[in-house]
Amino acid sequence: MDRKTEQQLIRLLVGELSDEAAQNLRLRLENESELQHAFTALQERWQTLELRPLEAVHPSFTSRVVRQAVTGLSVEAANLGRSSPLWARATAAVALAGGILVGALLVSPAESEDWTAWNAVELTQAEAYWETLGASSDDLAQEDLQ
Amino acid sequence: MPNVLSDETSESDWQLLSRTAEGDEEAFRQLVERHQDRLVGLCQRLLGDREEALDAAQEVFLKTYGKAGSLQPKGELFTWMYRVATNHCLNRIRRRKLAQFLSLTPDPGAESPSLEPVDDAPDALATLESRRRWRQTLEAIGALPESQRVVLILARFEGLPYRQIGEILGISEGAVESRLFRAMRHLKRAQESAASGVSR
Repeated sequence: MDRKTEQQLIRLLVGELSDEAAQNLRLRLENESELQHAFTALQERWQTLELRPLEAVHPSFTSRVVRQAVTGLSVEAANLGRSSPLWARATAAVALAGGILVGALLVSPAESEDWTAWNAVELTQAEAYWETLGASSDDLAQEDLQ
Repeated sequence: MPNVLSDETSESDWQLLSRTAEGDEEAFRQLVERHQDRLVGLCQRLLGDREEALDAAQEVFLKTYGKAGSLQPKGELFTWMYRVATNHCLNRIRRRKLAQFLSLTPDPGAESPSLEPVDDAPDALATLESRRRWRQTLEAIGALPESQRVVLILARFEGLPYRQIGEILGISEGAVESRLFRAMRHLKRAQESAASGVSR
């Protein structure tokens, strides 16, 4: 099947076709078994995409947002302010930087490989989802060029 | 397909925003109440974590509040909020990956449905089956390139038309169509590959 026809089927699936175009395509579906088969498969693929139902947001969220907006605090600023004073945050920042430096010096290439191997074994499927998230920024540019 | 972001709603949104700019706290509260479920939902779909989604949505509302006096009533306010939310979430994902790389720890935002306790209720099997499907969906959309994944989420789970997805992402309708097409092709290949793996 050519790309244009497949795109038309997707448009039909998501309701992007005009009434007339949708009617014409449905007529074709009735008469062309291969097309019908492709559309059924597409529908099934679409419908099996299912995620956990979303919960309603707790009413306290609204009050929190309005309060922070009115007092002029960003979420990060509000969270930092709640958790610790300035001197503690500065100390933590220095400690973190030192830790990263020490860690970089201590971890040998062999140990890094071990960690990678362990992580590959322990990686859950859901975690693998997020692992892939940043690996594709090039795809965006490539795709737009096509 | 019904347009979930109706023009009628957006007119009222602009009025509420205008009142917000004049210091009307109640108007802003109404705006937040009206859109919080949808915005948090979008962020949760993109980030995969409820708490992080709440923080992200909160940032979007705060940005909306901060720009209440300067935003021009053009198009639909909610589309603008969706755009800000999408960009914000994608930035968070990139930051999260960087932090993960630096700390060498697993991603805390990842959903782990299998780790949740399953009760002995009669529908426990159905619950397990649902979780299996959610997990499969996470894996399937997680394997997509970012540009395709966002379009798929907006089309499949937010039910948005191509035009609105294009406005949110700042791309043409043709690009939306192309990305959705590629995403569906990708899913098809993954499905076929999984099926051939099982049959072997």
